Amino acid sequence: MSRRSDIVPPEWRPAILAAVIFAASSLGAFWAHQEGRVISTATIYLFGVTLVGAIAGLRGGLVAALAASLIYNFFLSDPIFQFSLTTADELAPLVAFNLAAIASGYVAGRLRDEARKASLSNRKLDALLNFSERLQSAIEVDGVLTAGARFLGDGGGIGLEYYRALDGGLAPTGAREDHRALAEALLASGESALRNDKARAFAIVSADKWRGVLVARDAPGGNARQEGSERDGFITLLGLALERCVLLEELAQADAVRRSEELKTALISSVSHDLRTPLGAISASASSLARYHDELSRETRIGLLRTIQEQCSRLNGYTTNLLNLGRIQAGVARADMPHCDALEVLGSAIARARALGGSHRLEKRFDTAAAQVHADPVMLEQVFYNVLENAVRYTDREGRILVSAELDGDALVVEVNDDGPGIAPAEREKVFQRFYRGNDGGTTGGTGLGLSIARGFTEAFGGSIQAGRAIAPLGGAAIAIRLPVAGQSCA
Amino acid sequence: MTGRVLIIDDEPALVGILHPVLEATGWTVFSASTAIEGLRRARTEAPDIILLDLGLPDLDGKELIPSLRALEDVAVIVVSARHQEAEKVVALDAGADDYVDKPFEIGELAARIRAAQRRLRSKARANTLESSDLSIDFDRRLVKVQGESVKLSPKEFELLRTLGEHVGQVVTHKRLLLAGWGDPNIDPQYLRSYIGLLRQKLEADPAEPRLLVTESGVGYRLVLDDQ
Repeated sequence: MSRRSDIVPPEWRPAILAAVIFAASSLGAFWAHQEGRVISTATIYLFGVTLVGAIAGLRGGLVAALAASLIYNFFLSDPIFQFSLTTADELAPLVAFNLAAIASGYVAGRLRDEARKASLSNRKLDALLNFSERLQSAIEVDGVLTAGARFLGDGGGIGLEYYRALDGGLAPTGAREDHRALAEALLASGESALRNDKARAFAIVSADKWRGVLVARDAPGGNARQEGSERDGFITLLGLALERCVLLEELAQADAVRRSEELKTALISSVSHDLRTPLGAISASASSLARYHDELSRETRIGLLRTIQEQCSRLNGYTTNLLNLGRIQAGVARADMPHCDALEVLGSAIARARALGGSHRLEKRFDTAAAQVHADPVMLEQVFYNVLENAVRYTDREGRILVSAELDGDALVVEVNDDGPGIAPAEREKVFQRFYRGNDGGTTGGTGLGLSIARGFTEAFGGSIQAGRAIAPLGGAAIAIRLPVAGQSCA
Repeated sequence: MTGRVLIIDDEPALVGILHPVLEATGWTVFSASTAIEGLRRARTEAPDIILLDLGLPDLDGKELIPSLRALEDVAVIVVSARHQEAEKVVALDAGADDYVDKPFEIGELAARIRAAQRRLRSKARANTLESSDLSIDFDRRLVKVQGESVKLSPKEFELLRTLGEHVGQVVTHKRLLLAGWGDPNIDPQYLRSYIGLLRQKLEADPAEPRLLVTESGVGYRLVLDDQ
């Protein structure tokens, strides 16, 4: 837009232009009259009136024609300074000016109407394209409604409401009672559309199921410029988009169910594999003893029996972990937990870990004698034991494990350091994931549950557990358990 | 029977059992806990039988099978706690000779090892198969059940021949379809029908088959008690 449009409102421009042209042609006519050119005088005026008609339309043209006739009659034609319509010469300019104004005004008006229609339909097309793009990109019901409301708000004043079908009724969205009643009436009627004097309701159906009801109403104060057929077209488009969204939502739900089923299958397969491995060793040992008893040396027989014992305890540990997993999933209430001395519990876990076998050097470095925490002692022992067991598994048989305990403000920090291969920074969070088994090569007999249970329980006690790098000179893995210490009075 | 057995399994407890027990029953035993080490030992130790676990730390055991089968005169028996039929079929199609589920009884494993070794020894196509229940003369196409001659259709005979060549070992549907129909993609329903016909002719009680054993989802196995 030019700067002039800021000074002169656009709707005034044709009128001003017409006035300028009228004034110019009047001046021209007077000049021709002075020169005594009668025909030029009439022709100039005729041309001016035609132009004004073309610019200002029929009405402006007629005003100009009438004014021109009067001026011409009064000032320019004989008798001068006197109105007279007695001769044909006096009547001719009046008729000619008016006919010219009518003809040019009509043609110009038609042209302008066409142009306006074309620009209007262009705008509609743009809006429709915009709308359909928005509809296509909308993947949620709300998005479709927003796009629809924006489009209709631009073009014509239809309010939109959508009611989701839910268990045979309609979802209670905060909407107007009368529209809700219309939507319910539609649902009850089983028809695909229903209208009353203020609004219309359309059923959104996909795969032969009722998904919801779209209610379109005339917005209060809206200028309903949209033609009826266009409006129906938009609503059909909206309906299709809503159906698509509903289907997408269902697809997403089905996908989520399928993924959760897949996860369950993977868990079951992992659990059954982990249960079968010790069972396999027990079955092979027992059947070997039964079948080849006499062929086997005494040492071999004892070895087989010992394997059976070890694998039974491994199965038992695994079962405990599975039960604990169930316990975490069911939710652990901290309120019911008693106070206990974490260091006493830690001591008992260390004693159990020493019995795991191997000749690990398990060292203690406690900077405090006791630390009361708000935790279930059995679960807490499981936390410490799982972390210690992990350290034993991932270090050599001669490996060194250092357990430290110290108070840090209101928290007790228990750290288990080892001189094993350590945990790469990228793995430090993953090791707490259920069934995650680092790069252990499967040789450790781990189940991928120990640390995930340790984290679940620790968090239930209001604490935290992190993996890191062990202090020098060990340099392996470090697991730090941080527990809030209960009030001093309990110490 | 004796020979050389290579155990490729990452579970130390199981290796710790199989090693002394198989040695005590006359086998020379080697073991490896990774796929790479297993392949190396398979090349250097020239085992007759390889017991292969699928869940190895460095590689899925199935991927190792083609390399192991490329070695001369070796039978691969998959020993795994993965019980999915599809997985067994993939392993067998990749060239494994047999499959044993964990947990297993040592007697079962020993029988599979013996069957595999017998098949290795009779590499040239065996002419006859004799047991107390069943005798087959492959060349003359004669089949006897407890001494009584049984008449088989050509397709029934081809199926029995394929099972007989792998006596004691599982034979996949695919391989049987190939043997009987020349096309592994035929509807397995045909195979079921023919196995049903064979059972009618060979089994004492076809409703409770003891010779032609079904390996659900995988294939069939011809089991002869005294083999």
